[in-house]
Amino acid sequence: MPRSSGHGQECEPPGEHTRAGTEPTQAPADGSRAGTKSRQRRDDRSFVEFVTARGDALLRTASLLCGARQDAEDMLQTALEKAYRHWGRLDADVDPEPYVRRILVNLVISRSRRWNVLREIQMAWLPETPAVSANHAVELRGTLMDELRRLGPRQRAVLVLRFWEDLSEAETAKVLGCSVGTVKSQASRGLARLRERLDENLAPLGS
Amino acid sequence: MDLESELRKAMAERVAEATAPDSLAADVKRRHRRRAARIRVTVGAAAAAVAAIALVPTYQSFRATPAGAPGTAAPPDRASVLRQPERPPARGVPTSPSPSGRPGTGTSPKPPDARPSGGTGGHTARPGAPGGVPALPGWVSYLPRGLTATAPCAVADGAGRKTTTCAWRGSAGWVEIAVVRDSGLGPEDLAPMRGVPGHASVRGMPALTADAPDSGRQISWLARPGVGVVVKAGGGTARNELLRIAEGVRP
Repeated sequence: MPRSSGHGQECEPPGEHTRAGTEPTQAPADGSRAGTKSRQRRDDRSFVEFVTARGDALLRTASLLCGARQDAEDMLQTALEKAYRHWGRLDADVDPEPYVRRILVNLVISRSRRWNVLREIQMAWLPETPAVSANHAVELRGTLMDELRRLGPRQRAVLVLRFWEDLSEAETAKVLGCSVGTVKSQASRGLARLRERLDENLAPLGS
Repeated sequence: MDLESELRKAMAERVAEATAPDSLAADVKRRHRRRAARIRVTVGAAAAAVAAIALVPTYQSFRATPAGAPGTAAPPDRASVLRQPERPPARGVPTSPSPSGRPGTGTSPKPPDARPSGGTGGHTARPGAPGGVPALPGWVSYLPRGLTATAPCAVADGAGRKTTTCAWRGSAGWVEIAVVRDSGLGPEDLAPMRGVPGHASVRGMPALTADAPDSGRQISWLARPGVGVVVKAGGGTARNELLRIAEGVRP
C-alpha cells in the first residue's frame, strides 16, 4: 500500500543512502567555496548543546513518524549519529535542525519500506482488527493516531511535517526532496484517507 | 469536524510525555565511536589479510633461493633419468631408479633396500649397471651426466653416529653426498665449516648453503629427525645443479 502513493509524481528516492539525505546541505555551492575556509565550523560542544536543546522535539517527531516510542529513540540515535559524522562540516551560523530532520525522515521512510516488505512476506492473511469500542468518541484522537500509523510512510511524513512541525509546503518538499505539488497531493490524499477511515469507524456512534 | 486541528491535538497528546533521555548525546557519541572502531577493525583485518596473502609467498620465494647456482633448470643437453625414463642407462653413466617406484617413472623397479646401509656400502647393483662400478644408490634420484662413482659408498660408524658418504667424479665435476644418522642430530651439526651460511629450502625443508672446498658449494638439511644430509658439488656443471641434486636425495 505505501508504494501506491505518488502516482507519477513521486519524490526523489529519499533513502538514507542518498547523499541528499546524509550529506550536509548547508554548505555553500562550489562557487563560493573559497570563502568557506574562514567560516566557523561546528564543534563537538555545539552538538551536545543542540541535542540537549532539540532532543525532545526531534524525539516527538520521530515518535509520530515511527509510531512506536522505542523505534523512535533508535531512529533518532541513528539519525543523530549520521549527522554527528559530518557535524564539523556544518556552518556554525546555520541551524542544523533541518539537516537532522531530513536524515530522520529519510531513515524512517526507508525503514518502513523494508518492514513493509517483510510484513508482506510473513503475513499470509489479513491481521485481526480490533472491535469498535463503546467509548469510541472519547478515543477519537487515539483512533486518529492509529489511522495515521496505517498510512504509508511518505504520506505520514507529509502530515507530521505539515501539522506537527508546522512546516510550510515548500519546507516540507525540501525535507522530503520532492516538489511542492507532490507535498500538496500527498497531504490531500492522506487527509482524505484519514477522514474516510474515521467516518467508517465513527459512523456507528453517529459522530 | 476540523480534521487538521484534531490531528494536531491528537499528535500533541500522543507525544506529550515523550522526552529525550539526558544521555542522548553521549549515547550518540558512543555509537559513533563503536562504529568507527568497527570500521577500523574491519579495514585493519582486511589490510592484514591482503598483506599476508601478498607478502608470504614473496618472503618464501626469497628464502627458497637456489643454493649453488643462479638457475636450477637443467640444461637441454643433460636430463635426469626421471625425465627420460625410456632411455636405457648408458655405459659408465650413473642412473637412478624412480624413488617412489611408480610404474612408468623409472627404468627399473626400486630395490628393496633403498636406504643407505653399512656392510655393502649402501648401494645396490642393478641391471644395466657396468660391472665393477658401483651403481647409483636408490636414495639418490638425480645426478648430472658425466659423473661416475669412484668407489663404493663409505660408511663411518662411531659414537652413535653413522655417516654414509658417496662420491662421484667426471667431466661434469664432482658430487659428494653424505647421509648422517644420529638420534641427537641437530641443525648445528650440519652447519658448514667455512664461509657465511645462506638459507635455502629442499622440498620445503629449511637448508643451509655455503662454500665447499675445491671451489664447490654445499647444502645441508635435516631430512627428518635424526637424519641429516650434506650435498657438496663443484667443478663443471655439477656445482650449478647443487639444489637439483639435493632435491633428488631421499634418505
